[in-house]
Amino acid sequence: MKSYLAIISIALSALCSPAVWSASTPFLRQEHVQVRLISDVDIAVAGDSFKIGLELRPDSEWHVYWRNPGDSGMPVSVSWELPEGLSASEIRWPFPHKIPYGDLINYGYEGAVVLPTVMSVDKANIKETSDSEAAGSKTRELSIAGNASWLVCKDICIPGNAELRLKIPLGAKKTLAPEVTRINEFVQREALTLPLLNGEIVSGQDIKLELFATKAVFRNAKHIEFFPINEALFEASAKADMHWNNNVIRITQQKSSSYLSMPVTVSGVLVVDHQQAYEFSFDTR
Amino acid sequence: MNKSISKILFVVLLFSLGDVWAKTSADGLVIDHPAPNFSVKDSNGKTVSLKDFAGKKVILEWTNNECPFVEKHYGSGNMQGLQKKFTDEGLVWLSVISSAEGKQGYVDGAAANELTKTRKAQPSHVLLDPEGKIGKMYGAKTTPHMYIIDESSNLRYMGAIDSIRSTNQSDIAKATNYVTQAMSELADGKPVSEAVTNAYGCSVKY
Repeated sequence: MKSYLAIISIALSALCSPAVWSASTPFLRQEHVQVRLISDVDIAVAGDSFKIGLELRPDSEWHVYWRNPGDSGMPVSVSWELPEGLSASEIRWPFPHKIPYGDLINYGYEGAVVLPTVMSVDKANIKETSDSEAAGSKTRELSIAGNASWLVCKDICIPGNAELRLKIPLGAKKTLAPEVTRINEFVQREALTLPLLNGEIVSGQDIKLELFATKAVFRNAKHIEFFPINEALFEASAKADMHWNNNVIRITQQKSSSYLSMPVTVSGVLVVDHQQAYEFSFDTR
Repeated sequence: MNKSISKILFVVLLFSLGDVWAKTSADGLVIDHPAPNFSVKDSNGKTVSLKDFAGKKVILEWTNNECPFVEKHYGSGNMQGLQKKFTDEGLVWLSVISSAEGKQGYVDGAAANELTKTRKAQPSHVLLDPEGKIGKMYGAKTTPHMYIIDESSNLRYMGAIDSIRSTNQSDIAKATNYVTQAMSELADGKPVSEAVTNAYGCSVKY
């Protein structure tokens, strides 16, 4: 009788978890976009962290949105369902690019993008979910469910969502997965924090922003692109007039038509020579 | 010496401009200042001008029936509910369609009337703006994009319909509706607390 039950549970667990040992879900085809979750580890370790990436592959000429979508659109979002002791960071946004539509400018990603999230495994409190125990194995796993939602647009927009599930085994030694390279490609596009000596912002017909960094990060810059994180501050479709030298940058850009008042915290991302992004933030009061 | 005085004056000017422009749109629309007049054909071929409604409050709603953000507010009945509430109170509700011919949401008068009927919508007029004249005059960026004009033809609100940017109908109840908030503040004779908000939705298909 006992072995009979064991056979059933082996059969059941094989049916229910076909991708137990995979560090990624297969791509799920949704309207005009494919989505999947990938992990940078095959085996995670308690007391350590690892990364999960939400990969979105919009069809050719379609795009999804950054944290500030610009003139229209909606950012990608993920809500996680995690076992006790596992906690997720906010999305570590890779820097976007500007996507024009008519007179408007949006901030987002054309082509594939991976949005990384850091998962921290609390050593003391981790409560792994293990559905393989019944089969007599000692595998300890972390069940991760990500509910992703997005707006994918070309000239028209289509909202979408998907529930994606991954299982990451817990072990004594962290083992990297092949997808680590794919995730790291986009981790490199995450902005470094730009420590400031001072930040000034004045709102007139245009907004004038002046940043004094602690280091001469702009010294050899040939090209700098500015993406405000605050919405309703700068007019996304207006061109930024930028001057920089060593550690100082001055940006003048038309004020947003949705501007109401100066936000308490002003933050944004500066992309130097299309490759290195810096994120600044300062209080205006 | 002269130079430093003019520099100081310039800085002073910059700060005072900051105040003056605090609630100005880039398109020249200023909260608590006159809203620009327009004349346009409605879905029944009748010419409608903003100045026809002097003495009444007017709500402008930019719309595109195929936009998922618009579908959120019509599929749930939220938009029709607002139209009924405010037109019952004697206000004028103008739904504006600025989609260019061939673009998403473009409709002729007959199709616009059919949409009103099937969706049980209750606007006072549906304005057809395929050349985008009113849309650009008001700087309408998204559908929906909402504007409130008072009895003296002054602009009192512009921006989003509510505070939760999503296409989920279930978010409507959780959101602050900026239009009803502004309307009730105006009814109480108070200033509109959030007179400009960041409109969310599909881009207007000019």
